[in-house]
Amino acid sequence: MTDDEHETTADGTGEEPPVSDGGTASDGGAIVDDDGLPAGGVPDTPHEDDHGLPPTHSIRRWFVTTNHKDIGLLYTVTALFFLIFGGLLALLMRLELWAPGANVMSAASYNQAVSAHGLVMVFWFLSPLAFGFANYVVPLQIGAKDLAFPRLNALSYWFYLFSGILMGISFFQGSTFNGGWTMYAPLNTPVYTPEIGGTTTVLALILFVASATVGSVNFLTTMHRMRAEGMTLRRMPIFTWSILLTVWMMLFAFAALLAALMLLSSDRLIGTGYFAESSPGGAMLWAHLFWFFGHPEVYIVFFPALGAMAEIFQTFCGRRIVGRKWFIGAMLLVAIQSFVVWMHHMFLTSINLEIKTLFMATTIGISLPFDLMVFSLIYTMLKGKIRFKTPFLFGFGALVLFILGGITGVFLGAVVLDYTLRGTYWVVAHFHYVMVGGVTGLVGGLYYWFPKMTGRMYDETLGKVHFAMYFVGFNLLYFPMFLAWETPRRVFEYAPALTGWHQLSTVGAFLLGSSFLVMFYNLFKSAFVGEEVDGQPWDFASTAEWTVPSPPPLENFPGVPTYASGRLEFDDGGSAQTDGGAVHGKAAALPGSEVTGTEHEGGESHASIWPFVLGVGAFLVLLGLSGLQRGYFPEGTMGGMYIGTAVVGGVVAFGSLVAMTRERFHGPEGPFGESWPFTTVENTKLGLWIFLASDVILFGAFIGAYVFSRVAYGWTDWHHLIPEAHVVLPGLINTYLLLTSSFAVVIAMEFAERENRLGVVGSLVATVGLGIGFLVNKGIEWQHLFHIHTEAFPAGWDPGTNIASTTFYVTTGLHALHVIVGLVIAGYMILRAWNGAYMGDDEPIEYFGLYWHFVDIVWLFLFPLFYIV
Amino acid sequence: MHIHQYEKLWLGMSLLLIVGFIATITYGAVGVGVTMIDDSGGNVDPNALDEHPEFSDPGVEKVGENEYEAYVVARQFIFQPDPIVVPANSTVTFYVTSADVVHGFSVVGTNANTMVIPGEVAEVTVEVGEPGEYGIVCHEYCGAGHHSMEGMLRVVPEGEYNSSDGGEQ
Repeated sequence: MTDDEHETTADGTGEEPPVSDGGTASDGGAIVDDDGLPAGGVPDTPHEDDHGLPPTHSIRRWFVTTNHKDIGLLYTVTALFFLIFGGLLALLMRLELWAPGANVMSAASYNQAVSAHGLVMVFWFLSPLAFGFANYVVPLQIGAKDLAFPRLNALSYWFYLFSGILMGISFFQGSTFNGGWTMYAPLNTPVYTPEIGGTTTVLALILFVASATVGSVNFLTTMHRMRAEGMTLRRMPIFTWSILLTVWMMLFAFAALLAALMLLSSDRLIGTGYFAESSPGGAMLWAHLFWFFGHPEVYIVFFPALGAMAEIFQTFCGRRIVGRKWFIGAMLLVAIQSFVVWMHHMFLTSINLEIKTLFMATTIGISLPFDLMVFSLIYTMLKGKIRFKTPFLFGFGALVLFILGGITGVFLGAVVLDYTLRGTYWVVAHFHYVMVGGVTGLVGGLYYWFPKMTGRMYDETLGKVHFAMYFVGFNLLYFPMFLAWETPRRVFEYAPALTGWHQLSTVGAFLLGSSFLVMFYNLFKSAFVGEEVDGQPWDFASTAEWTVPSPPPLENFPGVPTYASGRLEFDDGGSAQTDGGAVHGKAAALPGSEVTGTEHEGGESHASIWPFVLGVGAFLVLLGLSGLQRGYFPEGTMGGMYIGTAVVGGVVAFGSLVAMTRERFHGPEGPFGESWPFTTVENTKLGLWIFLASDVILFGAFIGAYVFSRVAYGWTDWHHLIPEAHVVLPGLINTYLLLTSSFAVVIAMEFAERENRLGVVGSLVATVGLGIGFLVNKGIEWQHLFHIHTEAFPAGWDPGTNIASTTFYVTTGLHALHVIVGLVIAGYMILRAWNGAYMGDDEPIEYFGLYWHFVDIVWLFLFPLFYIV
Repeated sequence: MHIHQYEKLWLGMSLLLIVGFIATITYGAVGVGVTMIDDSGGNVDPNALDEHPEFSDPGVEKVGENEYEAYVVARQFIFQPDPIVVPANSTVTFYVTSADVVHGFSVVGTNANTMVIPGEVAEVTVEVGEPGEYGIVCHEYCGAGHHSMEGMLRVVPEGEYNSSDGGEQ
């Protein structure tokens, strides 16, 4: 287990699959040896090991860190910055609405402000704030040293930050996207929104989704594989449960959004016609894809808040949450059901009434599990002893607001009422009660984990002042919107009779906004001069993060945590533990949570600059591409600058990927305590599988878009859109080429097992050769189709010709991109195999094979769909 | 399993609520005949509205005793015709489609409120009462002039209604 054989376990490549060329799970000898530290106590002298990281006061630290706690802090701080960004936009809107008509901003500015406010708050503030906590807390709660792929985690953050910067830049490129956060087609195509900034917004979203997908893969692998002994899924703390379900939803929902955004950017950059009026299904295609993502997104945003609320309720009521099992079950149910309610956003389209009724039933049905959760929280309060600290006030406030938001949502879920309420301020008020209700819970979480993150306590009085201003401001802002519900959405004109309500609302907005000034002052000051706290500032906090010092040392635990003998119990009503001997309140958590053994990998560096550099590269590539519109860059110097930026970005990105794979870096290695149900699957392999699952959805959405567009056009009429020259043969040849290349990978594995170096190199070369053959054949085919001259297609059959050519080139093009990525990885592996890697260790080849076979299987679907039927 | 009494009550009420909503919809559709937008409106080619028998010349037509059909085209950034003129105490069925992007069609103060999607015809029936004026707004973002996109539904006394100017532009 030495030398470069074992280069990395976190050998991911950003948007590409995390194919590893190393990273075997080491059995590593006995990890657990009993030198038993005192049960559950806070260690006096935390073991200091800088993991090759500069100290926290050094700027460099924050660029090279891969530690989950550092990244959690980065996420939290950045998300709060975007809160200010989105919040200022909201204040501008409220100023504009002080009186009917355009008074403060121009109409175009108002449209930009509304659209950007929605996008920034939903994407760049809400989820990332939750992921700040998730990064910080989840590994601690499950007893892991770090996430499964620490560098990928850093990469998620940098992608997130740079996507946000890209979003900000879009304001300066003519205009940011100004068609509402739902980006309905065909307004989102360059015919109607030609500004470069609109394209930049779409590309920024793509980068954000890449970040979210990388993060989901990472969290899922971590939570499924790396729990401490005894930390079974059933015993997982509720916050961790909420994050687990959130990331599962993210994995699938964001893949659908990615597909929608890729189709849209293909329309905007290359000039294809998915959402053009010439495609009869275009407008509805966007709505379906967007809302298939959009509704789970509501829960993606809300679940972490719910998890934080549950933790807060447990701690400050001094009682385990009532009906914990049911609570988790309800969340699970919502997570699944969230994927079958999306059409309630489309009740006013031409979907037929039967389907609408069905979706009304699923929509109203989804409120039932939420009822259960609400009741469980209420009972927890009734049965416990409440301490009204700031986190609890926010948690409680969130509950109240969410109940109001939820109930008003049921109205909208009823088809008949939706005919009246759609497009009005009722909707605006409803979703702000839900979403900002979620924010309330997260702010509670911020106060709750602040002492853990900083080691200092915030000022309680100022915290309560914040809550009072926040709660009053919130209701003053959003409640009048219910009363002024007749105001049409997305318009700054409204009936003069409603002016009073809107002015009240604006006053509330400023109160709400200024309450955050109190919070920023409080937290900023307390982070430096607040009262120092030990590991457990809240008595009765039950989860594992409170058993370690605040802030926890880099490796989290002084040894390998285990819950083998412990149960998740809670101190009921303030009496002492029944089985503990643990000091009352202090680390009473998890009685018997014995800290046993130590594992120490001294001197291992956990610093890597490459995730940051890759983020810069991706940022530059997308910024450069934003200039591309329907196949053309702007004329003159401007165009040259765009092209130059993209090229430089490409070089930087590729270089950092290579550097990342060359770097010696060990992620956490198993075996881990609890890995059910993936005990026998190694981290990298599981990560790859999870990534492929999201890729399945991506391709599924692309193929779905094809089928949808074709059905809307008329399944058989479609043939008129395809030239005679589009024949089966090239596709058939490519099918054989790909199948053979997959076979070659299997042979390479066999040679690796037999330690035959030339055999491995030879079969990988065969794989690459066949793959290149596939691409060349495809290139010839496309070249031919581009330049046909027939009566029906005088100017050739290119991606923009019609909807049939669009679906053909874009879908098979996405597949070709996957082939190219595979070939790059295989090329790299040939080099390594030539130098003697993989002998007797065929796992890296197996992982590559998984990906390659997947690409192969996708082709087996594409070939009949695009060549035969 | 022990379920608390309040919880049972709540479950019961929730179920009742669901049944209630479904009953409302059924009653609304069958009982009082509130026509809801569905796919019966059919499809059109948004690029060839000029050749469409009705939408090429949008306006109001009399189709029966006290029954009228109003063909409306929404495009950046107007509604055609504007105003839409109909007689009082009649039944008007709106057929609305878009010539370009997605628009909204909300006749404030009536049950007419729909998305207007290019390629699709939204159909909604309104029971028109006393004479008066109703504003029409577009509440879906439709581009730079979105804020100025508004129209008017003018209900005139039966006697004053002249079919020849029935909403022609």
